[in-house]
Amino acid sequence: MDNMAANQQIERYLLRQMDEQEASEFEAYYLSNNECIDQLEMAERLLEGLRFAKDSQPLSTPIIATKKAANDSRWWRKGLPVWASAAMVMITLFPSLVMYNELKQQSGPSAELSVLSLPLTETRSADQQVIKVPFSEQRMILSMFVDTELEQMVHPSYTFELSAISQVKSQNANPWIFNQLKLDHNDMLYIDLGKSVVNPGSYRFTLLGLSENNEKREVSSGTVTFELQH
Amino acid sequence: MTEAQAAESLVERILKGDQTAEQEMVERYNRGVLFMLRHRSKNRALAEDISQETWRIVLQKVRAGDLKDHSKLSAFIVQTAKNQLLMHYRSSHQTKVTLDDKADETVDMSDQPQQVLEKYNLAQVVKKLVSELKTPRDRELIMRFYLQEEDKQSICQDYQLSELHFNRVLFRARQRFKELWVEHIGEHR
Repeated sequence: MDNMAANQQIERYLLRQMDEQEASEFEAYYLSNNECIDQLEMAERLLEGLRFAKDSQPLSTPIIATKKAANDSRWWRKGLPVWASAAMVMITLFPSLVMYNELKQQSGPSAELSVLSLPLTETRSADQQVIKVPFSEQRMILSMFVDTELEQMVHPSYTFELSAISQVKSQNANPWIFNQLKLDHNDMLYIDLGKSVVNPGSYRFTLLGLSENNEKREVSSGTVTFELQH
Repeated sequence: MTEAQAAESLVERILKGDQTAEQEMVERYNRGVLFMLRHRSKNRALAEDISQETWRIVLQKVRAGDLKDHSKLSAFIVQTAKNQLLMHYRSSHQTKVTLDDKADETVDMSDQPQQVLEKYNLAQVVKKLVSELKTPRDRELIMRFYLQEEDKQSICQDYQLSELHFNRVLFRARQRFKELWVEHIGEHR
C-alpha cells in the first residue's frame, strides 16, 4: 500500500467503515509507519474536534424528563419481570458543565470547569422523573446503568439510538447513533450528546447490545423528553 | 529496507538472543500498537495496559519461534493485541470484581474533568480552524464527510469530483488543518 492509498483508508478506518479483516490489514500496515500514524492522529483530532464543536440552537436550562416505554419494548413482551426491566437501564442526566466564554489553552484542571454528578434516578415506579439542571450552558451527557447481574444485559459493546418522536411517527427518522459504547468499571454507559445539539422535544431511545459477531439485541427502549425551563 | 525485510531482520536477531533487537521491535511498533488499541477500545489507559501485555506475549512467542513467517511480524502483533483486548472484555464481563480488585482497575480517563476540558479546548480550536479554511468547498466537504458521514459518492456527485479528486481534496484539507493546528497550538499539543 502506498501513501496515497493509505491516505484514502484513513477516514474509512477512523469512521469505522472497514470490516474486521480490512481494519486488521490496515493496522498491520500503519503499525510501523509513523507518517501514516501522524495522518491518523491528525484526522482523528479533526474528527473529534468537529464532533465536539458541532452545535445548533442553544438549549438553555433544560428540564429533562425520562420515561420508560416499557409496554412496547421487545424485551418486555418476552416476559421479563417488572423489577428487572426497571433495574436494567436507569437513565439520568449527567450534565458536565463547561462554562467558558473564550478559548483556554491550559491542559490542567481548571476552577472554571464544573462537573456535576446527579444521583442516579430509577424509573421503576414513577412514570416520569424530572431533573432540573441549574445552568444555562452545558454539555449533555446521558449516563445509563446497565445491570450486569442479568446475563442478557451483558454485551461486549452497545449501540444507542435517539430519534425525535415526530420523525419516528412520520417514518422519516434520522437518529443519532452512538456505536461501540463500552461499559465502564461501574457498569455505566456514558453518551455525550454534545453541547446544545438536542432540541427540546420527545425522543425515542433504543439501547442495543452487540455480540462479538455483531448480532444486535435490544436491551431497552423508551422515551426521553427534553424541555426548556421557562 | 522494506517493512517485510525489517521485520525478518528483527525476528532473526531476536531468535539469536539479541536483546537490543527486542527493544528495537518495541520502539518500532509500539506507537502503532497504542493507536490501534486506543482506536478499538476508546480508552487510553486501557490501551496502555493492554499494550504491555501484548508485548509480553509477542516477545515470548517470537523468542520461542512461534512466528513462522517472519515478514508478517506486524500482522502478528496486531492479532496478539486484538486477542488481548478481546480477552480483557471477556474477563471483565464474566468476573464481578471485589472492592480490593477495583483498586487496580483501569479507569477510562475520558470522563475526568481534565479530559473534558481538553476536549472542549480542542473543539474550540477546531471550530476556529475550520472557520478559517479559505475554500468554502473544503469546509463543506469536511463537514459533510466527517460530521454528517455522507457517502463519498454523493459528495463527489454534488461537487462534480472524481473519487481520486475527492481523496486529494480531503488530504489537502487535512494538511491545511494540520498547518492551522500547528500555527495555533503548536506541534506537541
